[in-house]
Amino acid sequence: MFAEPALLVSRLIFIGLLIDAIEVVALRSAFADGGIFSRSNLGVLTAGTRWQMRILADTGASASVVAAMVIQFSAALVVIVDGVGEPVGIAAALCCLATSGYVRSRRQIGGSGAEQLTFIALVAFAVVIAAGGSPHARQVGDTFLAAQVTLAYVAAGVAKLASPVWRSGTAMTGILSTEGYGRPRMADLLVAHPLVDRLMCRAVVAWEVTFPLAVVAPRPVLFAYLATGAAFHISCAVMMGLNRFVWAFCGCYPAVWATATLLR
Amino acid sequence: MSVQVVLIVAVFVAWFAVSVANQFRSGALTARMRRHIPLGLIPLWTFFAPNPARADSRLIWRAEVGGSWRDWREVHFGFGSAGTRWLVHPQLISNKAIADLVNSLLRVDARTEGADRSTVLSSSYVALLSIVVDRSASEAGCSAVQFAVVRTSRLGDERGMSLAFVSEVHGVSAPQLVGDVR
Repeated sequence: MFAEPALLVSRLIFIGLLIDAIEVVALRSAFADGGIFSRSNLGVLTAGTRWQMRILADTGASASVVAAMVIQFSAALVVIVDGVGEPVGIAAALCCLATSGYVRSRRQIGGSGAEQLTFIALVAFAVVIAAGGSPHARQVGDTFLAAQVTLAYVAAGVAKLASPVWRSGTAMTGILSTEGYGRPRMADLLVAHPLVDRLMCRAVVAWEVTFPLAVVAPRPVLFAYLATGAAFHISCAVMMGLNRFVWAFCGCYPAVWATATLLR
Repeated sequence: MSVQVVLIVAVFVAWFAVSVANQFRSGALTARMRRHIPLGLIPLWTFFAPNPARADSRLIWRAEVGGSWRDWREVHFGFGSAGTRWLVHPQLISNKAIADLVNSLLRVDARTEGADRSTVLSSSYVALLSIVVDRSASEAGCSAVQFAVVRTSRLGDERGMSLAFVSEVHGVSAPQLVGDVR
């Protein structure tokens, strides 16, 4: 991802940042007085926390948030066109780090694992650049991201394995029957065919828990794991509305690929 | 290998080690680190586990106007349309924000079992109250508010609803953001 900035697939997380900017602008009234992310609410939420947790948490009303997102949108576009290999793209990526850090702090709640991984990738990139941005430093950054993605899948898989709901094979029916993440027709289908739910639960757990194999297995196996991952995240976007995970996780797959190549 | 590369290897190894340790939620050390490190840089990757969402948490509230209580209303931001939410889904952020506050509130409430004032004094309770009081500002003559959390689910034709939490009644007056406990 960092080591091969010319690859278009290395820029996927910046498409996620474009979408993030659009979504936050759509929610701009929530950052104004009386909104759920109003400065007074954020003041309440961060009261009593350490000073570093409160930085920018109640700074700027909706106009500041919109301005930050316009900057993020433009900077993300620059990276999508230019990559993170040249000074302009590097500056634009660091700009995305600043704007996304501001909005994360200004919002505090309502975030997702996709946003978290995106932000971790941006901070890791800043560390790589602070260390000179050499090819070696970029490889180290890629390895760190690959390790985080692998940890994410394994931890999620083990947590599911320990869950009676996931083990019983009814988790997907439950999730898809909610209004927030659901698809009524899909939930009804799973109720009618519980075997499909059981198979889906087991497939997700098996794929997540065995993901580390992808890094050390032969290249066709690695490709199969990553293609399955892309299909999984696209399905979650379509069925559950988890749109940002596609860009965040698939955006880090080039780092997994680069690390697996390095290990061979 | 240059000094800078050795340094970032050290930074990333430490960061990853703390991230791994954080997956074991019981660790006191990682809990302390999470309180010091901002912006979610120490991740907890569980994704719908161990307890996947099986119901929607909904925040409802009511206002007292002229001595009588109005009907319960929901603080609702809508759900994304199935046709577009795979691409752009801002409602997910608002709904997740309410869910985060509600889950935090229910955790505090379960821990204290109402034995002390911890629930009412928790930041999630005060933030939810603040959201409700903001909404009551458009209610002329509102003298008090109360909120509740209900869990709704649907499976086939069956609809389920359970009451998860009911707040105290809070008196409000126009210039105040957050009311006093009655």
